[in-house]
Amino acid sequence: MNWQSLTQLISIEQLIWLTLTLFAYVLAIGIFKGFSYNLLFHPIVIGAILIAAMIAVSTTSLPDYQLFVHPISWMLGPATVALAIPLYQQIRVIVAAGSKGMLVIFIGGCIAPLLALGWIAIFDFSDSVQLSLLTKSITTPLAVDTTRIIGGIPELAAGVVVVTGILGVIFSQVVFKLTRCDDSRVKGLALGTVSHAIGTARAHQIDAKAGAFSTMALCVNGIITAILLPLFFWLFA
Amino acid sequence: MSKRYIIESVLAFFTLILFLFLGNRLSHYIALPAALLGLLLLFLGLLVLGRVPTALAKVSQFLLRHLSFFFIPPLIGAWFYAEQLGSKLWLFLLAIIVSTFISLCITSWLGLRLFKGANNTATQDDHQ
Repeated sequence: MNWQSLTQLISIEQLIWLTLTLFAYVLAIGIFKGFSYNLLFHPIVIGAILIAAMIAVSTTSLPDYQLFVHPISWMLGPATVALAIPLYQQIRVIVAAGSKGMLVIFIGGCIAPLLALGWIAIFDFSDSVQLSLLTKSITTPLAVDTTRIIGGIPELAAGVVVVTGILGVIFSQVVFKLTRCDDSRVKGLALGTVSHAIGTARAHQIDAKAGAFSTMALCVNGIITAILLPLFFWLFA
Repeated sequence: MSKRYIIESVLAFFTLILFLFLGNRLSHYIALPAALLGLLLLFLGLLVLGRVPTALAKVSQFLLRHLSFFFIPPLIGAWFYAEQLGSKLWLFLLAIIVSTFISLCITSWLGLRLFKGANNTATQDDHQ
């Protein structure tokens, strides 16, 4: 391989945007720490704002940016496969939580998308937009593929997933006070079921047990939704 | 950072990619997300192996800790589609806000109901 073919493979612009995105993320983590982990300053939010500002200033188009940083989005694939490891490590927790835990995850996993769908149906959105809400509570790579299979807009679904994740984490502080929830296991279950990976990161801050339950809920809800939704559409659509 | 550590980490990362690839192959026959099939295959592999190789545990822990980073491009991309919703964007966002809040309430309430009095010792707290 010579250098010329390598530069054709990766453009300078692409390298710059990959580096900028990485820097924005590192900076966002610093800001998150600086605000003592206040969830309004979540690295995803700050990172996205920083990048959006840079895109606006440099007058790069969004589709171009997407193309440049495709390697980053692509990494969500291996990262999802990596969920097999915590899932395996939490086997004991899953068995201990048993059918009760599964029931909570299953009901929580069904309610969130159905509520959103009902709301959207009332206000008459197009079908593909509605379908993009069904995967709101499962982690992005699963959501993107599942949405594609059932005929929604994968890119929109990805955004819905991230927004749901952050909102769930922010709301959780109020909701746990409202329901007087002092059980780490339940906190973990709720965070993992509703807010997938972003909720799980939060659960790990609460304690190890919450983290374990959240990891389990994230994996189980993701798997259940990704299996049941396409099956449902295959049977009824 | 020893040479061995680096080689093991790279191998562990390629293991993840290998399983993603296997999942991708399998998704031609089973209409499920490739990443999910890869996850399930690796999970089966770990069950057969009976333990998690240290390097694989470390690499996946690193990936999952920085999952936020990989979320940034899709979030930016979604904005492009969100703009097309125009005046309905707020209704769309409100749908996410309301449903997330309610489902969080129901999940934690139901969880409390079901877990009340259940033994709390089945899982182990590892604060260190």
